[in-house]
Amino acid sequence: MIRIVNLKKIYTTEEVETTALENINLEIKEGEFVAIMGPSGCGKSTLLNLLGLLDNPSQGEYFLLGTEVSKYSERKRAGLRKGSIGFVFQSFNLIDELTVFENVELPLLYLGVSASQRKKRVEQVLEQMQIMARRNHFPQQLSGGQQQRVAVARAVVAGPKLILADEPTGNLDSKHGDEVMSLLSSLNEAGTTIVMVTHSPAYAEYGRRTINLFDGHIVTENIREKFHV
Amino acid sequence: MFGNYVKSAIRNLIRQKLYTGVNILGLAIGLAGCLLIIGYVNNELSFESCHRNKERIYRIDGLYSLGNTQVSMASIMPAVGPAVKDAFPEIERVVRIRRLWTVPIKFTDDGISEEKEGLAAEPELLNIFTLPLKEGNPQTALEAPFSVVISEELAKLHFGDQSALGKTIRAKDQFDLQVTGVFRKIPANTQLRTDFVVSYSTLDKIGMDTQSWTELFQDYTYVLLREGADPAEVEQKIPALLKQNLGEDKSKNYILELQPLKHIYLHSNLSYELSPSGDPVYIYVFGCVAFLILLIACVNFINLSTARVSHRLREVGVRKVLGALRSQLVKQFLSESILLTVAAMVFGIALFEMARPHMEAFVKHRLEINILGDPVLLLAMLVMIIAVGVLSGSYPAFVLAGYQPSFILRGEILGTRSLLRRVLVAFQFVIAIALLCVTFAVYQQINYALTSDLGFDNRDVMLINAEEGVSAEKQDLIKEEILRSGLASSVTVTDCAPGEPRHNLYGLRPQDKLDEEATFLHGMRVDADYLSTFGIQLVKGRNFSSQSSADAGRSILVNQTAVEEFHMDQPIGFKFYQGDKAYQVVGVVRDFHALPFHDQIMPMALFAATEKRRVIAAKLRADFSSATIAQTEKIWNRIVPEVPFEYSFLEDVMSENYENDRRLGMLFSTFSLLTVFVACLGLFGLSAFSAERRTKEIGIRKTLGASVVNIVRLLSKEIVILMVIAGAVAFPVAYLAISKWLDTFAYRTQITLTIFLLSGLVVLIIALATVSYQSIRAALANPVDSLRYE
Repeated sequence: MIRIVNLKKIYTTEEVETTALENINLEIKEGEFVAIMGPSGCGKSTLLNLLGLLDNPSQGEYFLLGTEVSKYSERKRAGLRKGSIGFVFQSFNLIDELTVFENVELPLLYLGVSASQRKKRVEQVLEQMQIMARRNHFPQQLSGGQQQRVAVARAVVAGPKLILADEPTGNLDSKHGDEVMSLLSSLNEAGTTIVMVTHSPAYAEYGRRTINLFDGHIVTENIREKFHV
Repeated sequence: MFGNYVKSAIRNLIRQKLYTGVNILGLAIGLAGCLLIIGYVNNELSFESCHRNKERIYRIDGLYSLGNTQVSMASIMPAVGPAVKDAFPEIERVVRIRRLWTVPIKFTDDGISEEKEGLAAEPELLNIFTLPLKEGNPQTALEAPFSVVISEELAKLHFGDQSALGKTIRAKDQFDLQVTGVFRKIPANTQLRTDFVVSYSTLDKIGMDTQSWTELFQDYTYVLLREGADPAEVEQKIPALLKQNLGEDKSKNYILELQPLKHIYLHSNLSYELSPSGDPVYIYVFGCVAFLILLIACVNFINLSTARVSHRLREVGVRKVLGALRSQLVKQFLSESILLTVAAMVFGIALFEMARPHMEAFVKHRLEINILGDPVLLLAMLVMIIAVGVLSGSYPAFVLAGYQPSFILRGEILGTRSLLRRVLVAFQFVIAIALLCVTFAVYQQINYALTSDLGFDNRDVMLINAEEGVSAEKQDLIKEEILRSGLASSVTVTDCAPGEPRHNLYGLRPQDKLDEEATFLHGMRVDADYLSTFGIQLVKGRNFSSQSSADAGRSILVNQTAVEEFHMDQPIGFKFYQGDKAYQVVGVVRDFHALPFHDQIMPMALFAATEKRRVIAAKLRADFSSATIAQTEKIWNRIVPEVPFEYSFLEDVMSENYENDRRLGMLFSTFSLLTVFVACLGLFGLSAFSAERRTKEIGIRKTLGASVVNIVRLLSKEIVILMVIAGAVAFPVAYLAISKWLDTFAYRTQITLTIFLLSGLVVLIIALATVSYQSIRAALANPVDSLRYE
C-alpha cells in the first residue's frame, strides 16, 4: 500500500536548515497496523504528515497505492486525501463552531455526498463510536475521550483505506486511552490500514510492527511476533 | 455546502463578539456614509427632472459688459421675452418670471400675517413647467392682474379643508390678490419651489417696468423650444434682434445665451440665480470622503481578520486535512465576509435614516430619497455589499486558504504578516490626520476672516431695514431721533453697510479717459456719517459736509485702491463721469473690506446722497441692551407705524457671509471625526489581539522584572512610530488640499505648523488612549496567568 524510497525532509527557516528526516525507506502493506515510536523531535510527526499528504518531501519517492505522489500539488493531494486517508490527532482538532454531527459530516461534504446519504452514514458511524446521544453537542461540551471518539468517527466516516493517528491517546487518561485503542484495533481487524505515532510502548504493542525513529533515521523495526515468541 | 459555510460563519461571528462588533460597526458607518452620498448625489443630479419638457426648456442668460468688466446674470431685461417669442419660430412658448423676494402677506380670512418668498410669472409658467394645480384652472390661473396661485402648504395652513379659490390675500398691505389656484406639492428638487406666484400682469398695474430693453437683473426668462429646434441657431439670431431694438452701439454690450434647464442647478453660477445653486465640488468632496471612510472600514476588516488568523488556523487546517480545496475555503471565507457586510448594511441603513435629517439641514433642502424603493439605490447597495465583502474578505481568505496544512497544525505561523497590518493601520491614520488638518485650516481661515482688520468697525452696529415704505425724509427723521435719544453714537443712512454681501456696481469714466468705455466701480450712496458710524479712516481730503445737500449728486469719496487703479496723482478734485454727470473726488478713505474675504477689494466710490436709501445703520453705545432695541423700535413706530421694524446686527450678517465655508468646515470635522473613530475602532480590536498574542512575552518580561510602565511603553511604542510615519505622509497631502481651498479666498490666513502639529497630536492621543486600555490590562495581569495560558 505504501512504499517509501530514500525519503528526505528538510525544513528551512531564514537562517537555519533542519533535516527532519533522512534516508527513510519503508513499506507498509494493506491491513497492517504500524506504530511509530521515538523521542520528541525525532521526526515522527513529520513522517506521518508526509504519509498523510499534508506536506511534500524534499527528496525521495513516495508510492501510495502504487502511484508516485511525492511531487503532487496541494490541489491533487487534497483530492487524494479526502476519501482515502483518515486522520486522528492528539489534540482532537475538532472545529469548535460545529456540532458533533457536523464535524463528522465534514469529510462527506467535501466529497460531495448527498444530504440523505450523509445523514445515514454519519449516524451509522456515531452509533458505532457510541456517541450518538451527543450528536448535537459542541466539542467544548464533551470530555477528552468523547472528543477523541468523535475525531475517530470523523476519520472513518468516509471509509478510508488508511488511518493516520498522531498520538491519539496523548491527551487522554488511561481509561479513555484504552477505549480509543480498542476502537482503532477493531477498525484494523475490519481491514483498515493504521499508522500510529505513540509514546506509549504498551499502546505500540497493538501494532503488528513498531518502527523506531531517532534523529530523523529509522533505527530499528520490530515485528511484534518476534517479541512474543 | 453553502449552508455549512453560513452556519459556521454565524457561529464564528457570535463567538468573536469584539471582532464582529468592531467590524460591523465600522462597516456600517462606512456604508451609511456611502448611502448618504449616493442619495445626495442622486438628489443633486435629479434637479428639474420633474418637468416633462425638461429637455426642451432653456433659460436666457445675460452677459453684460461695460469697459473691461463683464457681469453674467441669470436674469435679463424684461422686453426680451415677448420679443424672442415673436421673432423666432423655433420658440414654442416663453415665460417671464420675476422674483418678488420676501413679501409680507396677510390672509384676510384668518387675519394672520406672514412673510413669504414669492414670484411673479406669466400664464405660460404652468404650460412650460410641470407644476400641476390641485385647485384652479391652469390655463387661466395666472391670466388676470392681482391673481395669485399659492402652495399647498399655505392653502392648508390658512384655509384648512376649505377650497382656497376666490379667497383674498393682502400683499405689502397695499394690494389685494385673489387666489386663483393651489399648487400640488412642488418637489424639493426644482429651483422653482416657492410659496406663491402672482400673475405677471399685476406688475404693470402696480407700476413696475415690464417693457424695458436696458434694465438688467429683472426677469428670469425661460423658453420652450419646439421639438427638434437647435438652441445654437436661436442664439445666433439674438444679436440681430438686440441691434434692432437697442441700436448698433448699445447692443454690443449685451450677449444673451440659452442655457439648458438641466444644467442650471449644478453648473450655472451666475449672479442673481433664482435659488441657491448646487455645487459640484461638494459632490466630489463628499464622494471622496465617503469612499475613504468605507476604505478605512474595509481595512479594519482585513486587519482584524489577519490578526485573528491564529483563531481560525486550526479550523482551516482541519478542513484542509479533510480534503477541502483552496477554492472551497476561499468561498467559505468570502461568504463569511459577505454575510458580515449584509449585517453591516442593515445597521448602516438604520444609521443612514438617523443621519438623514442632519444631511437635509446641511444641504438645506429635503432629500428625495426612498432607500428601499429606488432601483438605483438598491443596485448601489447590492454592489456595495459584494464589493466590500469581496474586497475585505479576499485577503484573509486567500492567505488562510493558501497555507500548507502541516504548517497550520504545527501552529508555526502565529503573528506573521504584521508588516502589512502596520502599513494598513498607518494608511488609515494618514487619512484621519489629513482630514483633521483640513478641518483645522478651514476654521482658522474663517476665524481669520472674522477677526482680522477689516478697515472698518463692525461691532455694535445695528442695521434697520428701511427699504420699503420709508421716505428719504422719514429716514433722516429716524436717524436724528435715534441720535437725539442718545442710544447711538453715530447713525448713517446708506445703500449698504460694509460687510453686507451686496454688489452695487456703478459704470463711471475717469476724467482722463472720457472717450473710452466706462469702468465698473463698487459704489454706494451714503451720508456724512457713514465714515464715523463704521469707523472708516479718511486718509486725504475731507468728508462730506453734514449739510448733505451741499455734496449730494456732485461729490464722491474714493478708496485707496481706486486712487491706484486710476492713477490719480492728485485725487482731490479728480472727476468721474456717469453719462454727462460729473462727480468730484473730495476725499480718500483707507481701503476696507466691503465684501467678504473671497473677493478682492475693488475700486470704490461713496456717493453723497439725499434721496431714499436702503438701510439705517446705528453704532450703538457699547453698553447697549435689549432696552436699547426696544427704544429704537419705539422711535421707529412713532415715525413709520405702518412699516414693520426689522433689524439685524452687522456682525451676524457678516458671519453669514462665511456660512458656506463654515458648512464645509462642519462637513470636514464630522467626517474626520468619523474617520478617526472608525480607525480607532480597528486599532482597539487590533490591540486586543496584539496583547493576546504577546501574552507570553509580557509574562516572561514581567517575571524578569519589567514594571507595568515598561510594559505599557513596550506596547505603545509601535503606535507612536506608526503615527509619526502616518503624519509624515499626511502632512504634504493636507498642505496641498488646504492651499487649493485657500485659493478661493482673495485674503487668506497663513498655513501654520500649528495646524499640522495639533492634528497629529490629537490623533496620537486618541490612538494611544485606544491602545492603552488593552496595554494596561495586559501589563497589570499576573505573570503566572499569562505563562500558564501558553
